[in-house]
Amino acid sequence: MSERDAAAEEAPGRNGQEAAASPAGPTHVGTGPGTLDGEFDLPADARAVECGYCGRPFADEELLALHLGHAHHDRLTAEEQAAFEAAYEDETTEMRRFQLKAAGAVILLYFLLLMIYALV
Amino acid sequence: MSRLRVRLAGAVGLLALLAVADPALAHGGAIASNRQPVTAPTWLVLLTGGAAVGASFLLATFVTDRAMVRAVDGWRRLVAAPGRLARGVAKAVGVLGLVAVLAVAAVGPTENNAAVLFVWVGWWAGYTMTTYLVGNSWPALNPWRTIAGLLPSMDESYPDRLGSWPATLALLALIWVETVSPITDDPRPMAAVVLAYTLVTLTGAAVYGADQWFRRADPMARVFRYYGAVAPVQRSGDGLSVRLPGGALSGLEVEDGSEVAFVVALLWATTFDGFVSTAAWAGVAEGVRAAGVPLAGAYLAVLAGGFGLFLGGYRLSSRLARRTGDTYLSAGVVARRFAPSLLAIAAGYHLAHYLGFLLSLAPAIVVLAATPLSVPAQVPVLPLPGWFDLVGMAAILLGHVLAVWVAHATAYDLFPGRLQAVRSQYPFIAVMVFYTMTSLWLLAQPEVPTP
Repeated sequence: MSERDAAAEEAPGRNGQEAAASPAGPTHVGTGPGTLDGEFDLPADARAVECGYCGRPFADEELLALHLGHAHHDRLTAEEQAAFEAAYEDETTEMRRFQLKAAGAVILLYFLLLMIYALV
Repeated sequence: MSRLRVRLAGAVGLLALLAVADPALAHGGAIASNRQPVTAPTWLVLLTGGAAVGASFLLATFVTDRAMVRAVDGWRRLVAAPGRLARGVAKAVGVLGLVAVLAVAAVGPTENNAAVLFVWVGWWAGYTMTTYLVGNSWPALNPWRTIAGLLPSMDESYPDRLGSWPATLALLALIWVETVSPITDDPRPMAAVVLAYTLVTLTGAAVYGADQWFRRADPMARVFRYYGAVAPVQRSGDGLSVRLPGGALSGLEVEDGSEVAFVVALLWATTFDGFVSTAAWAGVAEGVRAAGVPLAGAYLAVLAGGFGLFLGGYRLSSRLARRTGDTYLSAGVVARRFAPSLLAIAAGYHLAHYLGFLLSLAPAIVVLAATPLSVPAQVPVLPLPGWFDLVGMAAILLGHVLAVWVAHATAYDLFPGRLQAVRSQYPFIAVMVFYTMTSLWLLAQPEVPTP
């Protein structure tokens, strides 16, 4: 399954966790990304965009679009679907760039340690 | 309980053995000094450990497929749950074990007492390992629960506003008592502490009902429940299922802020134990004693101060994670969702801290258990090879790598953006790298008898 398909198929409460509510102990939470029922903490001057389906606040349009695609994929309008795909595309590019840097850092770390071990 | 390790080592005559084997080691006086130190310089070991954890985080960022992350953590096979007979046997074993420990501690010899060895080596080191390596069997075994189930109960409702604070304070108090009192080598005071714990537990269970008491207030049941969350065998519905180690953690959320404090206390307890047996602490304690301050007070201050520092550090990273992850989720939610990843670290550190201790004293338990009321002429101790230190380091690293994965999976569960999920972990990864290096440093220190 490609990552894209996986993302499109995402639905809240589907990651196979039983929602056993046992107070005072770790509780299983069965949510999809960005679908957590929890408290939010908005600073007074925050510029938040809210999800029209569940009311969760997000820092920008892009994160909201991603949330919509992941959590409410079965009820998106064509416009929201297009926004999700665009946001996902953008994010993939950014992610690639990040991963390139991460790979560079791992290699650098490896050779740095190798040299230190050779010298010590 | 390194203090305990040192003391017990003395109790079973290991000191004498060491003195005979190598006079140069005699003043070291610890199990650890029986082994060859790791040859690489300490700073390089710390650097490598920190780098390994950092690199695992960087490598984890390549796993961006949410379905795969969930499939890994969601993998499970159902297995048959133990039947009534097995549960009945477990209960009987638990109660008989408690009675035997109390009896042997009360009337057995004051030196090389089988009950002392059984409690600290067999139960606190060995049994605890089974809870995170296999599964939490404590609810079935717990003798106090079995006894409380037979007694009448008033079933008062447990005050919610207390949360997990009583359990957290009780855990820290037990650690403190263990450090400052002779209960780790003298059977009579140990029996007194076990009796006191029994009295408090049974009273609590009678007032609030056994279910509520052991779920919310009892510290030991909670310790095993949390360690058990790391284990491959998990309860699911009525049966049991086998999962990947740590697989259950990313789907967990601890109940409230006081639960976060308990998880941090669990992590700090083992670290504290390592810390008070370092030469650095011995120096400080010497100064404290010279200044006329009671040593028990100094231990309490370090225990409380270190706990506050750990909890403050963790809360601070939760607040920072809100900023790096660009989210409006409250810091409390972030703290509660990422707290289970700390359990993998706690389990790894527990294993590193106690595995050598358990293995070297295991033959002694067997011999002493065979003749609990008399002192055998010779108590056997398993000598550990020099490379055994590496096993402890590997356990610490494995715990952290598992925690990195759990944090990764948790972040992907929490946040809609992939890069956002990665960035939200920065503060936690920084804390983990720092903590790996601290743990490795503690492990590399030669153990000295605690002042």
